[in-house]
Amino acid sequence: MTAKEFFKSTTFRCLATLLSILLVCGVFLTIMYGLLEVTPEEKLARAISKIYGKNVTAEVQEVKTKELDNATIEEAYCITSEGGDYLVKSTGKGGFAGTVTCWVVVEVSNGNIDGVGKVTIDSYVGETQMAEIKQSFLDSFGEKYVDGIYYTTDDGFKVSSSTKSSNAICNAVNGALQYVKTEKLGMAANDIFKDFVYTSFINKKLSSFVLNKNDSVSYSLVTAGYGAANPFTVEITVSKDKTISAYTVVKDGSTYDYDQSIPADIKNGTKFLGRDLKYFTDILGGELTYPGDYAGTEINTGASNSTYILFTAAAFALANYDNAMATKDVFENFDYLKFISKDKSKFEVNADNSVKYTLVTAGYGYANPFTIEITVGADKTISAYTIVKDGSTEGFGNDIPDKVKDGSKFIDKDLKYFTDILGGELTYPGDYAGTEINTGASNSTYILYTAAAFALANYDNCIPETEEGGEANE
Amino acid sequence: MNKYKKITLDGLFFQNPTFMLVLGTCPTLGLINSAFSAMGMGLTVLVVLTLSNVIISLLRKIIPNAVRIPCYIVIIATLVTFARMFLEKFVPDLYDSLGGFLALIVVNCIILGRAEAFANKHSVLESAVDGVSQGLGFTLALTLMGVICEFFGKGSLFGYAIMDFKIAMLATPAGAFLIYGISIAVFVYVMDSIERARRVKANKLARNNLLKEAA
Amino acid sequence: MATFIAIVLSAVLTDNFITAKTYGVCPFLGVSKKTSSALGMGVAVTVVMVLATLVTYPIYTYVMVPLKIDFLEIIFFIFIIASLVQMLEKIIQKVSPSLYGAMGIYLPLITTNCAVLGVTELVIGDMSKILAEGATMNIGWAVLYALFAGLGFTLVMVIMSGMREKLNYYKTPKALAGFPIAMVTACFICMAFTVFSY
Repeated sequence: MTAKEFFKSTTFRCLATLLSILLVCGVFLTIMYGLLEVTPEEKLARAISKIYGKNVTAEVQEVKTKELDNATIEEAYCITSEGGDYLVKSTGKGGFAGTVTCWVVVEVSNGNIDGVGKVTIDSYVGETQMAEIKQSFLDSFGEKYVDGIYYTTDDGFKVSSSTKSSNAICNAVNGALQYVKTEKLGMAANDIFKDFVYTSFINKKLSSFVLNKNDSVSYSLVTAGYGAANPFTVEITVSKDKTISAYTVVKDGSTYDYDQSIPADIKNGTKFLGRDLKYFTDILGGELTYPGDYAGTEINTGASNSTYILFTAAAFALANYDNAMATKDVFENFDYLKFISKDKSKFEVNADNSVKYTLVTAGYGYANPFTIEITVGADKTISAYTIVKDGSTEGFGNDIPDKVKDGSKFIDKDLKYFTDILGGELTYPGDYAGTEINTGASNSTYILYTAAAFALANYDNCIPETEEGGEANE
Repeated sequence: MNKYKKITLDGLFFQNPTFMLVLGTCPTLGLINSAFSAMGMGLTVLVVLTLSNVIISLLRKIIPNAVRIPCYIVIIATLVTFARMFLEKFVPDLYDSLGGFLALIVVNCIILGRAEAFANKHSVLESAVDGVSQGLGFTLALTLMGVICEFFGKGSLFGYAIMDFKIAMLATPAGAFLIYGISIAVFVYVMDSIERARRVKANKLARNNLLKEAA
Repeated sequence: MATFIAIVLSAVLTDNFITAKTYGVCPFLGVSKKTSSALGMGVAVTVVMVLATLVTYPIYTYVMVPLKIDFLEIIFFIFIIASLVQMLEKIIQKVSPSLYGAMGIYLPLITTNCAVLGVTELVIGDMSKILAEGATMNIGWAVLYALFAGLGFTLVMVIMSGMREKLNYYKTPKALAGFPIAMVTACFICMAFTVFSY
């Protein structure tokens, strides 16, 4: 076939028409795609207008942990024009046959979660009964918000004909709350004010405290506002006898000229020095309630709101002295911490300066954690060694040598004995290194040896330091 | 009878794609559990069908016979893709409720069937009318069944709750099959009766004419 | 393993293409009058579904998405499916005329079958329901899903054909004959399958 014939043949015509149609269609669609693409910004804007009905400024927030237990956090925004509330797009798992994605407004003020705002459905996968989910159900999350709540269908957060979809929505809301709580407000995992009292008077996110060597606690508190007064920043030190040893107003939160009306001794803190908690609860009552503008108490100074804040801050510091001290890390600066569970272990110093440890170890290989009581004498050798709970598994416990199991192997040994066998880092010598660890229950034996080494190595850390004279009283 | 009138009536009743020709059954069965998505699907198909008929009719002299099916498919696929983009941007609620069936419009037998059976043989205007009427027939059929299924299956209408009594089975595929089957039976019966009545009338007329001539 | 079980159970029972998703309904109503033809159609559909997924999934994931032309997927997919079916028909005709007699004649009908395009669209979408914790979607799971979806389709086709063959022995009212009674039968099959959803 010559070229001319080819160009006239039906085959060519067929191919040409097909290809040109394809080309035209492809171009058309590409243009359309450019015009009609729905960007993520638009999806966000749609969600925002559904919730707020107006223009708001949304700042994208980073989501570090997307996958939570029962939800996935897709996106998060801080709505700065609405007072710092968070808008979280959260996908709840555990639906009827899939997931439900919701936009959840988490209301935040003063560094605490205040409540849940509007909840809307963004989309869902695999749910068939979504028509049953009405806005009244979604509103119930905000209406029935209680601090620390974890919404479940058992508590009544469900729509009876679509319980599983309701479950997914609950999970979505819980996920949003958990995200805001842990990532944005730094709470839960690191809630240093967990178990504290009177926390409503302070901003948990911005406040902090340190434990001093002389068993005093120094607080740096950003308070909540009250009435006309804005938050104050105060530094308070509570000494071991649970009285205030220092009080400084770092930032005055009074408005207008009220700060002129605060009595001088309250403003410079001298009023509070030496006071204990009873002084404050006598004036304000156990709940530290505001006594009213004309009750005639010490709070009514002409700048009553500001004075009230300063008093409650002091009460907070005193009331939580024990709670603050409880956060002390007794194992601070200890060596070989990786071999034990800090939360579950403890030690006590006896009168003769021997230290009795009750250690819950970490697991190793096949072996689960052991619980062991070890006493280290003042000569830094082991004087007592008892296994309280055997962590070996699968019958390995029978292979631990008797002398190791009843502890007699370790009596009178010092730290050098263990570091000679295991090295300075106490490394596992390997299953066939031929050392004392390789007993037929090597993992368990290794744990027992490292526990002993831990006890010996940290003897000095357990004995409290003597007070140095002349240390400035903070 | 005026040919446009014939085309319209055919599309709506006598050759209704859903009840008479039983084409495009997949989206029908999948979407009539909600009147909103049923009507939405119907309207989308109407638009795509009309546009496809018009374009194919325009090109009917150019497209060689051997490649006509692939060409039609490409054109229809383009229109469906465009419809999908359009809906996602401007009517996201409909886009969500149609789900996977939006993409499946491209294999909807109605569109390819009408292109093959009608658009490549008739003029542009006729094809357009055919597209609109077949699309309307499809939409009306779907909406009717959608209303029935949603009302009795969920107690709501277009998303607005009306009553508490519901037979949940009607909102599932099983119910869809049932309502579809019964609807076909009823519709065919009605159409047959109309046909029969017309034939009887025509016969009577013919007999009367014959008698008049004989007399 | 968990993903495998999830795929099998959901594709065949809980999310069956005919009874739960209403995807492959045209052949379901048209070709299910006799068990032999139902079986042939079911096998043909399964084969096409697997092949289509095998070809479209990699093209979508490794070619179209990186090149950002994924919005053209409908055109690409239907083209690939149509071509595949043409080729398959020619090959079967040449290689095994007997096989062609058994199922080859249904192949042209499968091009416009919602089930085939449906499964290719499904596997590129959100499959998080069937994937086990930490598993990601890949071509293996996609093809497996297509295979079992096709088998589920065949299963329901055969059940339907059995019931329709039995129906032949009974006299149906004229209005209900043909499609209507087939649909009512299908209704009962769907209801039966809903037990698997809970």
